[in-house]
Amino acid sequence: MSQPLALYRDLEAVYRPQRVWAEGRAGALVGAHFLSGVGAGGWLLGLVLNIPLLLSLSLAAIALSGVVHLAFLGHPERAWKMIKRPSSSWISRGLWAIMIFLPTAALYLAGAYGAWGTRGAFGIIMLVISVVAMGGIFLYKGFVYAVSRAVALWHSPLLPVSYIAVGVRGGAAAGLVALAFVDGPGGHLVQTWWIAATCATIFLFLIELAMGQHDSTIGRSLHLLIGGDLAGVFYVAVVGLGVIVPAALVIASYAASIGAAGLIIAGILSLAGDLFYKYCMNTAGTYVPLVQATKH
Amino acid sequence: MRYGMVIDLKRCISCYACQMACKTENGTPPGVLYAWAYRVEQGEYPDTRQVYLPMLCNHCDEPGCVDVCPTGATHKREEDGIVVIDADACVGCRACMTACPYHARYYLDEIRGYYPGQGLTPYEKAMYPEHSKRTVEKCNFCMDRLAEGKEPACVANCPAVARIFGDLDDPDSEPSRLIKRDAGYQLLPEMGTDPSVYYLPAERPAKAKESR
Repeated sequence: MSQPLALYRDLEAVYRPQRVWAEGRAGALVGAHFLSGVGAGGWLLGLVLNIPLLLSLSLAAIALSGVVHLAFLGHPERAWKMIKRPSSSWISRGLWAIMIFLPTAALYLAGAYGAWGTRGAFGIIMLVISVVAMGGIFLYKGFVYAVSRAVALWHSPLLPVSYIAVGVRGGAAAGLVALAFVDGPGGHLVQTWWIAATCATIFLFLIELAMGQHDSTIGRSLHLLIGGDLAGVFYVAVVGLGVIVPAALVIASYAASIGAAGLIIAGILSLAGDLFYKYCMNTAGTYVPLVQATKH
Repeated sequence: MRYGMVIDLKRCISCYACQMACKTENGTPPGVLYAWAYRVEQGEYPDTRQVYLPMLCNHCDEPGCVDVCPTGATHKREEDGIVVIDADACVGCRACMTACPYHARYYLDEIRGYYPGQGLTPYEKAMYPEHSKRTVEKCNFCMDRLAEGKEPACVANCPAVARIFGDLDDPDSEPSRLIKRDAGYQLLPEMGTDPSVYYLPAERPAKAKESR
Protein backbone atom coordinates (compact mmCIF):
# COMPACT_ATOMS: atom_id res chain seq x y z
CA MET A 1 0.00 0.00 0.00
CA SER A 2 1.33 3.43 -0.91
CA GLN A 3 2.22 5.78 1.90
CA PRO A 4 -0.66 8.23 1.27
CA LEU A 5 -3.25 5.46 1.01
CA ALA A 6 -1.96 3.81 4.18
CA LEU A 7 -2.08 7.15 5.96
CA TYR A 8 -5.64 7.89 4.93
CA ARG A 9 -6.76 4.44 6.02
CA ASP A 10 -4.96 4.89 9.33
CA LEU A 11 -6.78 8.18 9.88
CA GLU A 12 -10.04 6.24 10.00
CA ALA A 13 -8.77 3.58 12.36
CA VAL A 14 -9.22 3.69 16.11
CA TYR A 15 -6.33 1.27 16.57
CA ARG A 16 -3.64 2.66 14.31
CA PRO A 17 -1.01 0.10 13.22
CA GLN A 18 2.64 0.80 13.66
CA ARG A 19 4.14 0.76 10.18
CA VAL A 20 7.54 2.42 10.25
CA TRP A 21 9.28 -0.55 11.84
CA ALA A 22 7.13 -3.14 10.06
CA GLU A 23 6.89 -2.27 6.39
CA GLY A 24 9.24 -1.49 3.51
CA ARG A 25 12.87 -1.36 4.54
CA ALA A 26 11.93 -2.26 8.10
CA GLY A 27 12.77 -5.83 7.15
CA ALA A 28 16.38 -4.74 7.51
CA LEU A 29 15.73 -3.62 11.06
CA VAL A 30 14.07 -6.93 11.92
CA GLY A 31 17.00 -8.78 10.35
CA ALA A 32 19.55 -6.66 12.16
CA HIS A 33 17.95 -7.23 15.55
CA PHE A 34 17.65 -10.94 14.80
CA LEU A 35 21.30 -11.25 13.79
CA SER A 36 22.60 -9.32 16.76
CA GLY A 37 20.53 -11.48 19.10
CA VAL A 38 21.82 -14.68 17.52
CA GLY A 39 25.36 -13.33 17.70
CA ALA A 40 25.14 -12.41 21.37
CA GLY A 41 23.51 -15.74 22.23
CA GLY A 42 26.06 -17.66 20.22
CA TRP A 43 28.96 -15.79 21.80
CA LEU A 44 27.65 -16.68 25.26
CA LEU A 45 27.15 -20.35 24.43
CA GLY A 46 30.44 -20.56 22.54
CA LEU A 47 32.32 -19.24 25.55
CA VAL A 48 30.51 -21.47 28.05
CA LEU A 49 30.96 -24.64 26.01
CA ASN A 50 34.21 -23.62 24.30
CA ILE A 51 33.15 -23.99 20.68
CA PRO A 52 35.43 -21.73 18.57
CA LEU A 53 33.39 -22.27 15.40
CA LEU A 54 30.30 -20.95 17.18
CA LEU A 55 32.30 -17.96 18.38
CA SER A 56 33.31 -17.24 14.81
CA LEU A 57 29.72 -17.53 13.56
CA SER A 58 28.57 -15.22 16.33
CA LEU A 59 31.16 -12.60 15.52
CA ALA A 60 30.15 -12.76 11.87
CA ALA A 61 26.46 -12.45 12.78
CA ILE A 62 27.03 -9.33 14.84
CA ALA A 63 29.25 -7.78 12.19
CA LEU A 64 26.56 -8.49 9.62
CA SER A 65 23.91 -7.04 11.93
CA GLY A 66 25.87 -3.79 11.98
CA VAL A 67 25.84 -3.65 8.19
CA VAL A 68 22.13 -4.49 8.02
CA HIS A 69 21.40 -1.83 10.67
CA LEU A 70 23.05 0.70 8.39
CA ALA A 71 20.97 -0.50 5.45
CA PHE A 72 17.83 0.37 7.39
CA LEU A 73 18.83 3.95 8.10
CA GLY A 74 17.66 6.73 5.84
CA HIS A 75 21.12 8.30 6.01
CA PRO A 76 23.69 5.61 6.89
CA GLU A 77 26.51 8.06 6.15
CA ARG A 78 25.45 9.95 9.27
CA ALA A 79 25.52 6.84 11.49
CA TRP A 80 28.58 8.13 13.32
CA LYS A 81 26.35 10.79 14.83
CA MET A 82 24.51 8.06 16.74
CA ILE A 83 27.37 7.73 19.19
CA LYS A 84 26.30 11.05 20.72
CA ARG A 85 23.39 10.09 22.92
CA PRO A 86 24.18 7.00 25.04
CA SER A 87 22.79 8.85 28.02
CA SER A 88 19.22 8.51 26.78
CA SER A 89 19.00 6.54 23.54
CA TRP A 90 19.14 2.75 23.49
CA ILE A 91 19.97 2.89 19.77
CA SER A 92 23.07 4.84 20.69
CA ARG A 93 23.92 2.35 23.44
CA GLY A 94 23.45 -0.52 21.00
CA LEU A 95 25.82 1.09 18.55
CA TRP A 96 28.42 1.50 21.28
CA ALA A 97 27.98 -2.14 22.34
CA ILE A 98 28.49 -3.39 18.77
CA MET A 99 31.45 -1.08 18.19
CA ILE A 100 33.13 -2.32 21.35
CA PHE A 101 32.22 -5.97 20.79
CA LEU A 102 33.55 -6.37 17.27
CA PRO A 103 37.24 -5.55 17.85
CA THR A 104 37.49 -7.12 21.30
CA ALA A 105 35.72 -10.30 20.23
CA ALA A 106 37.87 -10.51 17.10
CA LEU A 107 41.03 -10.16 19.17
CA TYR A 108 39.84 -12.76 21.69
CA LEU A 109 38.96 -15.11 18.86
CA ALA A 110 42.36 -14.63 17.27
CA GLY A 111 43.81 -15.71 20.60
CA ALA A 112 41.48 -18.71 20.74
CA TYR A 113 42.76 -19.82 17.34
CA GLY A 114 46.31 -19.63 18.61
CA ALA A 115 47.58 -16.18 17.73
CA TRP A 116 48.45 -15.31 21.31
CA GLY A 117 46.33 -17.57 23.51
CA THR A 118 43.40 -16.68 25.70
CA ARG A 119 44.84 -17.15 29.15
CA GLY A 120 47.22 -14.21 29.18
CA ALA A 121 46.28 -10.80 30.51
CA PHE A 122 45.49 -9.48 27.03
CA GLY A 123 43.21 -12.40 26.20
CA ILE A 124 41.38 -12.10 29.51
CA ILE A 125 40.88 -8.36 29.07
CA MET A 126 39.48 -8.90 25.58
CA LEU A 127 37.23 -11.65 26.93
CA VAL A 128 35.85 -9.48 29.74
CA ILE A 129 35.23 -6.47 27.49
CA SER A 130 33.59 -8.59 24.81
CA VAL A 131 31.31 -10.20 27.39
CA VAL A 132 30.27 -6.81 28.76
CA ALA A 133 29.58 -5.62 25.20
CA MET A 134 27.67 -8.85 24.55
CA GLY A 135 25.47 -7.95 27.51
CA GLY A 136 24.80 -4.58 25.92
CA ILE A 137 23.89 -6.25 22.64
CA PHE A 138 21.51 -8.58 24.46
CA LEU A 139 19.85 -5.65 26.19
CA TYR A 140 19.60 -2.83 23.68
CA LYS A 141 17.14 -4.40 21.26
CA GLY A 142 14.45 -5.03 23.80
CA PHE A 143 14.82 -1.57 25.26
CA VAL A 144 14.74 0.13 21.86
CA TYR A 145 11.19 -1.20 21.62
CA ALA A 146 10.26 -1.03 25.29
CA VAL A 147 10.86 2.72 25.54
CA SER A 148 8.25 3.35 22.84
CA ARG A 149 5.45 4.48 25.11
CA ALA A 150 3.05 4.78 22.23
CA VAL A 151 3.09 1.10 21.20
CA ALA A 152 1.50 -0.83 24.04
CA LEU A 153 2.70 -4.29 22.98
CA TRP A 154 6.32 -3.15 23.11
CA HIS A 155 6.12 -0.86 26.11
CA SER A 156 6.56 -3.66 28.59
CA PRO A 157 9.27 -4.51 31.09
CA LEU A 158 8.95 -8.07 29.85
CA LEU A 159 10.02 -7.32 26.30
CA PRO A 160 13.76 -6.85 26.99
CA VAL A 161 13.76 -10.08 29.02
CA SER A 162 11.86 -11.84 26.28
CA TYR A 163 14.30 -10.63 23.61
CA ILE A 164 17.24 -11.81 25.70
CA ALA A 165 15.62 -15.26 25.84
CA VAL A 166 15.10 -15.19 22.07
CA GLY A 167 18.75 -14.23 21.62
CA VAL A 168 19.93 -17.09 23.83
CA ARG A 169 17.68 -19.46 21.88
CA GLY A 170 19.09 -18.13 18.61
CA GLY A 171 22.62 -18.70 19.87
CA ALA A 172 21.72 -22.25 20.80
CA ALA A 173 20.24 -22.80 17.33
CA ALA A 174 23.47 -21.54 15.80
CA GLY A 175 25.21 -23.96 18.17
CA LEU A 176 23.17 -26.85 16.75
CA VAL A 177 24.35 -25.90 13.25
CA ALA A 178 27.95 -25.64 14.47
CA LEU A 179 27.71 -29.12 16.04
CA ALA A 180 27.12 -30.51 12.57
CA PHE A 181 30.64 -29.48 11.59
CA VAL A 182 32.74 -29.83 14.74
CA ASP A 183 32.86 -32.05 17.78
CA GLY A 184 31.04 -30.32 20.57
CA PRO A 185 30.75 -31.06 24.25
CA GLY A 186 29.23 -34.36 25.25
CA GLY A 187 26.02 -34.84 27.16
CA HIS A 188 23.84 -32.98 24.65
CA LEU A 189 24.65 -29.69 26.35
CA VAL A 190 23.79 -27.58 23.30
CA GLN A 191 20.48 -29.36 22.90
CA THR A 192 19.67 -28.86 26.58
CA TRP A 193 20.59 -25.19 26.29
CA TRP A 194 18.25 -24.85 23.29
CA ILE A 195 15.37 -26.53 25.11
CA ALA A 196 15.83 -24.34 28.19
CA ALA A 197 15.94 -21.15 26.12
CA THR A 198 12.93 -22.22 24.08
CA CYS A 199 10.94 -22.97 27.23
CA ALA A 200 11.90 -19.55 28.65
CA THR A 201 10.85 -17.82 25.42
CA ILE A 202 7.50 -19.59 25.36
CA PHE A 203 6.93 -18.90 29.05
CA LEU A 204 7.60 -15.18 28.60
CA PHE A 205 5.31 -15.01 25.57
CA LEU A 206 2.53 -16.69 27.54
CA ILE A 207 2.92 -14.09 30.28
CA GLU A 208 2.59 -11.37 27.65
CA LEU A 209 -0.55 -13.08 26.40
CA ALA A 210 -1.95 -13.10 29.93
CA MET A 211 -1.05 -9.42 30.42
CA GLY A 212 -2.80 -8.56 27.18
CA GLN A 213 -6.11 -9.65 28.66
CA HIS A 214 -6.21 -6.44 30.70
CA ASP A 215 -5.16 -3.92 28.03
CA SER A 216 -7.28 -3.40 24.96
CA THR A 217 -4.38 -2.21 22.78
CA ILE A 218 -2.11 -5.11 23.74
CA GLY A 219 -5.08 -7.40 23.30
CA ARG A 220 -5.55 -6.00 19.81
CA SER A 221 -1.90 -6.70 18.97
CA LEU A 222 -2.04 -10.21 20.36
CA HIS A 223 -5.24 -10.86 18.46
CA LEU A 224 -3.40 -9.92 15.26
CA LEU A 225 -0.79 -12.53 16.18
CA ILE A 226 -2.96 -15.42 17.20
CA GLY A 227 -6.21 -14.79 15.38
CA GLY A 228 -5.73 -11.96 12.90
CA ASP A 229 -3.72 -11.10 9.81
CA LEU A 230 -0.47 -12.46 11.27
CA ALA A 231 -1.91 -15.74 12.54
CA GLY A 232 -0.81 -17.72 9.49
CA VAL A 233 2.80 -16.60 9.80
CA PHE A 234 2.71 -17.02 13.56
CA TYR A 235 1.34 -20.56 13.65
CA VAL A 236 3.18 -21.92 10.61
CA ALA A 237 6.55 -20.16 10.69
CA VAL A 238 6.98 -19.30 14.36
CA VAL A 239 5.22 -22.13 16.19
CA GLY A 240 5.30 -24.97 13.67
CA LEU A 241 8.61 -24.57 11.87
CA GLY A 242 10.36 -22.56 14.57
CA VAL A 243 9.43 -24.54 17.66
CA ILE A 244 7.62 -27.84 17.08
CA VAL A 245 9.74 -29.33 14.28
CA PRO A 246 13.13 -28.40 15.79
CA ALA A 247 11.91 -29.50 19.22
CA ALA A 248 11.01 -32.90 17.82
CA LEU A 249 14.44 -33.23 16.21
CA VAL A 250 16.31 -32.03 19.30
CA ILE A 251 14.39 -34.34 21.62
CA ALA A 252 14.97 -37.22 19.22
CA SER A 253 18.71 -36.51 19.35
CA TYR A 254 18.77 -37.59 23.00
CA ALA A 255 17.62 -41.06 22.04
CA ALA A 256 19.51 -41.52 18.79
CA SER A 257 21.80 -39.61 16.51
CA ILE A 258 19.93 -37.41 14.06
CA GLY A 259 23.09 -36.81 12.09
CA ALA A 260 24.57 -33.57 10.82
CA ALA A 261 21.60 -32.95 8.55
CA GLY A 262 19.17 -33.23 11.44
CA LEU A 263 21.16 -30.75 13.52
CA ILE A 264 21.40 -28.30 10.64
CA ILE A 265 17.67 -28.54 9.91
CA ALA A 266 16.77 -28.07 13.56
CA GLY A 267 19.09 -25.10 13.90
CA ILE A 268 18.03 -23.35 10.72
CA LEU A 269 14.31 -23.85 11.35
CA SER A 270 14.71 -22.52 14.87
CA LEU A 271 16.55 -19.48 13.55
CA ALA A 272 13.90 -18.90 10.89
CA GLY A 273 11.23 -19.13 13.58
CA ASP A 274 13.01 -16.45 15.62
CA LEU A 275 13.27 -14.19 12.59
CA PHE A 276 9.55 -14.50 11.90
CA TYR A 277 8.78 -14.01 15.58
CA LYS A 278 10.56 -10.65 15.50
CA TYR A 279 8.76 -9.76 12.30
CA CYS A 280 5.43 -10.63 13.91
CA MET A 281 6.19 -8.63 17.05
CA ASN A 282 7.11 -5.58 14.98
CA THR A 283 4.12 -5.86 12.71
CA ALA A 284 1.65 -6.48 15.54
CA GLY A 285 2.65 -3.21 17.21
CA THR A 286 -0.40 -0.99 17.58
CA TYR A 287 -0.56 2.58 18.85
CA VAL A 288 -2.58 3.43 21.92
CA PRO A 289 -5.80 4.87 20.47
CA LEU A 290 -6.17 8.63 20.50
CA VAL A 291 -9.84 8.87 19.68
CA GLN A 292 -10.86 7.01 22.81
CA ALA A 293 -8.81 9.47 24.80
CA THR A 294 -10.85 12.46 23.72
CA LYS A 295 -13.86 13.78 25.62
CA HIS A 296 -16.61 14.38 23.11
CA MET B 1 8.03 30.74 27.76
CA ARG B 2 6.20 27.64 26.62
CA TYR B 3 4.24 27.92 23.41
CA GLY B 4 1.05 25.91 23.37
CA MET B 5 -2.30 25.59 21.65
CA VAL B 6 -5.87 25.10 22.71
CA ILE B 7 -8.29 23.40 20.32
CA ASP B 8 -11.93 24.00 21.14
CA LEU B 9 -13.86 20.94 19.98
CA LYS B 10 -17.13 22.78 20.46
CA ARG B 11 -16.12 25.45 17.97
CA CYS B 12 -14.45 23.11 15.46
CA ILE B 13 -16.68 22.60 12.41
CA SER B 14 -14.57 19.88 10.75
CA CYS B 15 -13.81 22.00 7.70
CA TYR B 16 -10.16 20.90 7.30
CA ALA B 17 -9.03 24.51 6.82
CA CYS B 18 -6.24 23.89 9.36
CA GLN B 19 -5.03 20.90 7.36
CA MET B 20 -5.06 22.80 4.08
CA ALA B 21 -3.46 25.91 5.58
CA CYS B 22 -0.68 23.75 6.98
CA LYS B 23 -0.07 22.01 3.68
CA THR B 24 0.00 25.34 1.89
CA GLU B 25 2.34 26.92 4.40
CA ASN B 26 4.76 23.99 4.53
CA GLY B 27 4.41 22.56 1.03
CA THR B 28 4.25 19.01 2.29
CA PRO B 29 4.14 16.20 -0.28
CA PRO B 30 1.34 13.63 -0.54
CA GLY B 31 1.01 11.46 2.52
CA VAL B 32 2.47 14.04 4.87
CA LEU B 33 0.12 15.97 7.14
CA TYR B 34 1.63 18.05 9.91
CA ALA B 35 -1.93 19.01 10.86
CA TRP B 36 -4.71 16.55 10.28
CA ALA B 37 -7.89 15.23 11.80
CA TYR B 38 -9.20 11.93 12.95
CA ARG B 39 -12.76 11.39 11.87
CA VAL B 40 -14.07 8.15 13.26
CA GLU B 41 -17.60 6.83 13.60
CA GLN B 42 -18.27 5.01 16.82
CA GLY B 43 -21.10 2.95 18.25
CA GLU B 44 -23.98 1.07 16.62
CA TYR B 45 -27.22 2.46 15.29
CA PRO B 46 -29.06 4.27 16.80
CA ASP B 47 -26.45 5.03 19.44
CA THR B 48 -23.74 6.41 17.18
CA ARG B 49 -21.53 9.45 17.08
CA GLN B 50 -18.79 10.89 14.96
CA VAL B 51 -15.57 11.74 16.69
CA TYR B 52 -13.62 14.52 15.04
CA LEU B 53 -10.24 15.23 16.50
CA PRO B 54 -7.88 17.81 14.98
CA MET B 55 -4.27 16.82 15.57
CA LEU B 56 -0.75 18.17 15.27
CA CYS B 57 2.57 17.70 17.03
CA ASN B 58 1.84 18.19 20.72
CA HIS B 59 5.24 19.77 21.44
CA CYS B 60 5.42 17.85 24.69
CA ASP B 61 7.23 19.23 27.68
CA GLU B 62 8.56 15.69 28.30
CA PRO B 63 8.87 14.49 24.71
CA GLY B 64 9.50 10.80 24.26
CA CYS B 65 10.78 11.47 20.76
CA VAL B 66 13.67 13.54 22.11
CA ASP B 67 14.77 10.81 24.52
CA VAL B 68 14.97 8.10 21.88
CA CYS B 69 16.69 10.15 19.17
CA PRO B 70 20.23 8.74 18.91
CA THR B 71 21.74 11.84 17.31
CA GLY B 72 19.99 14.72 19.06
CA ALA B 73 18.37 15.73 15.77
CA THR B 74 15.08 15.98 17.61
CA HIS B 75 15.35 18.47 20.44
CA LYS B 76 13.25 20.86 22.45
CA ARG B 77 14.09 24.55 22.21
CA GLU B 78 14.76 25.92 25.65
CA GLU B 79 13.51 29.39 24.81
CA ASP B 80 9.95 28.43 23.85
CA GLY B 81 9.48 24.67 24.30
CA ILE B 82 8.98 23.96 20.59
CA VAL B 83 10.16 20.47 19.61
CA VAL B 84 12.10 20.70 16.37
CA ILE B 85 14.05 18.37 14.08
CA ASP B 86 17.44 19.20 12.62
CA ALA B 87 17.13 17.50 9.22
CA ASP B 88 20.90 17.56 8.73
CA ALA B 89 21.42 15.49 11.88
CA CYS B 90 18.57 13.01 11.34
CA VAL B 91 19.78 9.53 10.36
CA GLY B 92 16.30 8.28 9.51
CA CYS B 93 16.08 5.56 12.16
CA ARG B 94 12.42 6.42 12.82
CA ALA B 95 12.64 5.66 16.54
CA CYS B 96 10.93 8.98 17.22
CA MET B 97 7.95 7.85 15.19
CA THR B 98 7.41 4.78 17.32
CA ALA B 99 7.86 6.83 20.48
CA CYS B 100 5.32 9.51 19.56
CA PRO B 101 1.84 8.68 20.88
CA TYR B 102 0.30 11.41 18.71
CA HIS B 103 1.40 10.11 15.28
CA ALA B 104 2.86 13.52 14.54
CA ARG B 105 5.89 12.42 12.56
CA TYR B 106 6.42 11.43 8.97
CA TYR B 107 9.30 9.72 7.25
CA LEU B 108 9.97 11.06 3.77
CA ASP B 109 11.04 7.95 1.92
CA GLU B 110 10.56 9.79 -1.32
CA ILE B 111 9.11 13.13 -2.32
CA ARG B 112 6.41 12.78 -4.95
CA GLY B 113 4.30 15.38 -6.64
CA TYR B 114 0.53 15.54 -6.43
CA TYR B 115 0.11 14.85 -10.14
CA PRO B 116 1.94 11.63 -11.04
CA GLY B 117 3.37 11.60 -14.54
CA GLN B 118 3.00 15.33 -14.98
CA GLY B 119 6.06 16.49 -13.10
CA LEU B 120 6.09 18.93 -10.24
CA THR B 121 3.96 22.04 -10.20
CA PRO B 122 5.74 25.41 -9.84
CA TYR B 123 4.53 25.52 -6.24
CA GLU B 124 5.95 22.05 -5.54
CA LYS B 125 9.24 23.04 -7.18
CA ALA B 126 9.39 26.05 -4.92
CA MET B 127 8.47 24.25 -1.70
CA TYR B 128 9.99 20.77 -1.97
CA PRO B 129 13.62 21.90 -1.51
CA GLU B 130 12.59 22.70 2.05
CA HIS B 131 12.17 18.96 2.67
CA SER B 132 14.92 16.38 3.11
CA LYS B 133 14.45 12.88 1.75
CA ARG B 134 14.91 9.92 4.10
CA THR B 135 14.49 12.02 7.23
CA VAL B 136 11.62 12.55 9.64
CA GLU B 137 9.48 15.70 9.60
CA LYS B 138 6.70 17.19 11.65
CA CYS B 139 4.95 20.40 12.71
CA ASN B 140 7.15 23.04 14.28
CA PHE B 141 4.36 25.43 15.28
CA CYS B 142 5.30 27.47 12.16
CA MET B 143 8.33 28.81 13.98
CA ASP B 144 9.30 30.95 10.98
CA ARG B 145 5.93 32.69 11.19
CA LEU B 146 6.31 33.06 14.95
CA ALA B 147 9.65 34.78 14.39
CA GLU B 148 7.80 37.29 12.21
CA GLY B 149 5.20 37.88 14.89
CA LYS B 150 2.51 35.83 13.14
CA GLU B 151 0.42 32.95 14.46
CA PRO B 152 0.83 29.40 13.13
CA ALA B 153 -0.94 28.94 9.80
CA CYS B 154 -3.53 26.51 11.21
CA VAL B 155 -4.47 29.05 13.87
CA ALA B 156 -4.59 32.05 11.55
CA ASN B 157 -6.76 30.21 9.01
CA CYS B 158 -9.30 28.57 11.32
CA PRO B 159 -12.63 30.18 10.33
CA ALA B 160 -14.29 29.08 13.57
CA VAL B 161 -11.52 30.41 15.81
CA ALA B 162 -11.29 26.96 17.31
CA ARG B 163 -7.52 27.17 17.70
CA ILE B 164 -5.97 29.53 20.21
CA PHE B 165 -2.21 29.90 20.44
CA GLY B 166 -0.09 31.46 23.16
CA ASP B 167 2.20 31.08 26.14
CA LEU B 168 1.16 28.36 28.55
CA ASP B 169 3.58 29.65 31.17
CA ASP B 170 1.68 32.93 31.32
CA PRO B 171 -1.39 32.38 33.51
CA ASP B 172 -3.08 35.41 31.93
CA SER B 173 -2.65 34.25 28.32
CA GLU B 174 -5.83 33.25 26.49
CA PRO B 175 -4.85 29.56 26.22
CA SER B 176 -4.10 29.38 29.95
CA ARG B 177 -7.36 31.13 30.78
CA LEU B 178 -9.42 28.82 28.55
CA ILE B 179 -7.76 25.68 29.85
CA LYS B 180 -8.61 26.73 33.39
CA ARG B 181 -12.13 27.95 32.66
CA ASP B 182 -13.29 25.13 30.40
CA ALA B 183 -11.41 22.21 31.90
CA GLY B 184 -8.99 21.82 29.03
CA TYR B 185 -7.39 18.42 28.83
CA GLN B 186 -4.38 16.81 27.19
CA LEU B 187 -4.49 13.67 25.09
CA LEU B 188 -3.08 10.53 26.67
CA PRO B 189 -1.77 12.19 29.84
CA GLU B 190 -0.90 8.73 31.14
CA MET B 191 2.00 8.71 28.67
CA GLY B 192 3.76 11.24 30.87
CA THR B 193 4.65 13.49 27.96
CA ASP B 194 2.87 16.63 29.22
CA PRO B 195 1.68 17.88 25.80
CA SER B 196 1.46 21.59 25.03
CA VAL B 197 -1.71 21.07 23.01
CA TYR B 198 -4.92 21.11 25.02
CA TYR B 199 -8.48 20.33 24.01
CA LEU B 200 -11.68 21.89 25.26
CA PRO B 201 -14.51 19.34 25.43
CA ALA B 202 -17.26 19.47 22.81
CA GLU B 203 -19.85 19.23 25.54
CA ARG B 204 -19.28 21.54 28.47
CA PRO B 205 -21.20 22.51 31.57
CA ALA B 206 -23.51 25.52 31.18
CA LYS B 207 -21.27 27.80 33.22
CA ALA B 208 -18.47 27.27 30.73
CA LYS B 209 -20.58 28.25 27.71
CA GLU B 210 -20.20 31.95 28.16
CA SER B 211 -18.87 33.86 25.21
CA ARG B 212 -15.16 34.41 24.81
